[in-house]
Formats: sequence, C-alpha cells, structure tokens
Amino acid sequence: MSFQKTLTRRMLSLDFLDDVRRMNKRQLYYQVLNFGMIVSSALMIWKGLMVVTGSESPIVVVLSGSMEPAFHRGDLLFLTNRVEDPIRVGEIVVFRIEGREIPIVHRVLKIHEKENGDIKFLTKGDNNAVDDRGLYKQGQHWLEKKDVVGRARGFVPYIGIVTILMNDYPKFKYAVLFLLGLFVLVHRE
Amino acid sequence: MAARNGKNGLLEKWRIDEKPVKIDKWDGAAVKNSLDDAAKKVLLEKYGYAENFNLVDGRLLICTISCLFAIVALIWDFLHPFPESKPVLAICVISYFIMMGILTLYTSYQEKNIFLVSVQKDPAGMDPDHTWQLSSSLKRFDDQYTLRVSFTDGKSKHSREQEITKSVGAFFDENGTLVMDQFEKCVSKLHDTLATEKKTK
Repeated sequence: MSFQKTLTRRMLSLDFLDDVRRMNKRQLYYQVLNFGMIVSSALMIWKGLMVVTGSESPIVVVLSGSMEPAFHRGDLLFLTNRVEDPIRVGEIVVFRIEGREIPIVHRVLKIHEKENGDIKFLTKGDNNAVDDRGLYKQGQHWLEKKDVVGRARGFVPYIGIVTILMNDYPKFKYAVLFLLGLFVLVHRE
Repeated sequence: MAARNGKNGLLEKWRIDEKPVKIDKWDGAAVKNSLDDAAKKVLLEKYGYAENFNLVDGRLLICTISCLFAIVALIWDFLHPFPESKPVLAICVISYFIMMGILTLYTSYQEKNIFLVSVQKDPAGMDPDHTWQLSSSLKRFDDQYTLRVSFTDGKSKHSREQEITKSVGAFFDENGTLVMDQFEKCVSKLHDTLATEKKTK
C-alpha cells in the first residue's frame, strides 16, 4: 500500500489514540495535569514578568510602521514600568488609550508637569505626519501616567511577526493551539 | 438494562486491554512505557498483587496544587486588575516555582524510576503484607532495558532486589509488536528467583 494510503488509514483508525485507551484513570488525570502544568508554567512566567517589571504587558509587539526607522512592524519590545522613571520629552513610551486594547509605541512630544509630579503629555509617532491627538479618546487632549504601559528597555527584531500572523489569521492560531494541545494530551512522557 | 449494556459495550470497545501492544519501535519512550506496562500487568494479573497508589498520588497531588496556584493567580488578576493584584500574583508565582522544585525533588528522590508499588497479601491473613516494587531504566538511544524487582518482607522489613538487563530487541518483533510471552517469562523468572530466595533464607 502506498505511504499516503497507509497514513490516512492509520489516522482514521485513530491508532495514535491507542496509548490513551490503555490508560487507567490516574494516568488519564496525569495527562490532563501535564497539559495544565505546561499552560500554568507559561502563565506563571508571564505573571512573574508582570510583577518584576511592574508593567501590565511586559512584552509587546510593534504593530505599525509609525516609529520607523527606530522600530519596525513585528519587533518585540521588553518593557518596564517603574514608578521612579520620569517621563521626559523625546523618550519613547508604550501607552494604551482608554477603552482600547492595543498598546501604541510612540515618542513624547510635550509635557505639562505639576509640582506634585502629575503630568499630562502628548505623543507622536516618528513616522507620522501629525501628533496623536486624533487617536486619543473623544474630548481627550493629553495622556496621563495611568495610560502608560511601560518604557522599552530592550528589543528583538522581527520575531513578533508570528504574533501579527496569528492575529490576522485566527483560524491558523486556533489550529496550531489545538494540535499542540492534542499532542500534549495524547503523548506519554 | 439494555441501555446499560449498551454503555458498557461502548466502554469495552474503547478500552483495548486485550489488543496486542504495538508501538513505534524507534520511539525510546514508547518502548520503555510499553515494557513497564507489561511488567505491571504480569505482577498484577499473574500473581494477583494489589497496586499501591501512594507514590503516584503524591506526584498527582503536587501537580494539582501547582495548577491551583496558577488558577488562583489567574482568577485574582481577572477580578482585581493589575497593579492591585501585585502582591497576590507575587505570592502565587513564587509558590508555583517552589512547588516545581518540590516536584523535581520528589521525582528524583522519592520516585526514583519506580513505576509499580504492589502489595502481596498474606494468604493466611496473619502476617503484614509484603511489598513488591518494580523500577526500570532505558537510556536514550540505547537498547539495553534494565528491570529491577525489589521485595520487602512485611514482617522483618528486610528488602532484597534483583535486576536483569536485556536488549529490547528480545521482546519486540519487526513491526514493533510486544511479544508478551517472552517478556512474561523474563519477568516471572525474575520474580520467582526473588521469591524462592525468600523461602530458603
């Protein structure tokens, strides 16, 4: 029989599930736990980064070309959000506009600072023709400290393209996640 | 009644305890797992020992607690958005990694490759039960499988062990099907040697 036919026949007869069928309750529970532990490890590393850096999103992907040539679409940025870091004109910050999920990476243009340290600032992308007022919420003209997600401390170029692809083609994302999950659940250590 | 039989029938079709074990002969982990399972079968079915799950349960418990920490962190962060959740998150993350450390220690020092702890009940019902333990090792990309049987006398608490190392090629045919007869003979011989030692001492 040709390789193709054999492969199809084996997959349809679900031979790869044989290991699972031979498992007792404890072993099945352990397979599920294994899957849970992998997910938990990833989750704990992410939350751990959140605590250590002080930022709610310690790793972000640059989604647009508005900061070229400094950052390109698909770059991965590592952020920290320490209270002690003052925001000064000319520095790059990552912020979120109230009500929107997507973080934006732009440069600070103007700052108004009160004596007690409260600030209101305006941003603009290096590659954009106008400042970001058009992006802010209706009636909002300045950003505040609470909108800041963090400041870029390091970056890795291009790797974030995978995230952009996953977001643009959600079916691809679900397919990859489903296959990975299935593999972990079925495969014995 | 008919429905119940129907459900049992479906479960029977799903479980394949009687189907001969066939695995990918080049996958080391699958080979070791199937040999371990077969050895378990011999001890539990042929000699009728009862499996003691304490060791495995310990590991399951540690893993479950770790996952619980992760779930608590997830839910807390969802209900009280960052940064208010920082202290709780920090506690959960640190606890999680401590549990991981405990798990590694447990697997290395408590479990030590043991995949079966079984109990041989005294037929007269008078003496405490004897413990039979099975452990094995198969190095990566190696074909030498070592099976270790250890017997602990219930009364005297003395323990003896015997081991045998053979190539996995002795138990699997060309297609990767486990030849149960050969393997059963090997395991039984190992078991009986230990059992007779006990009697002569």
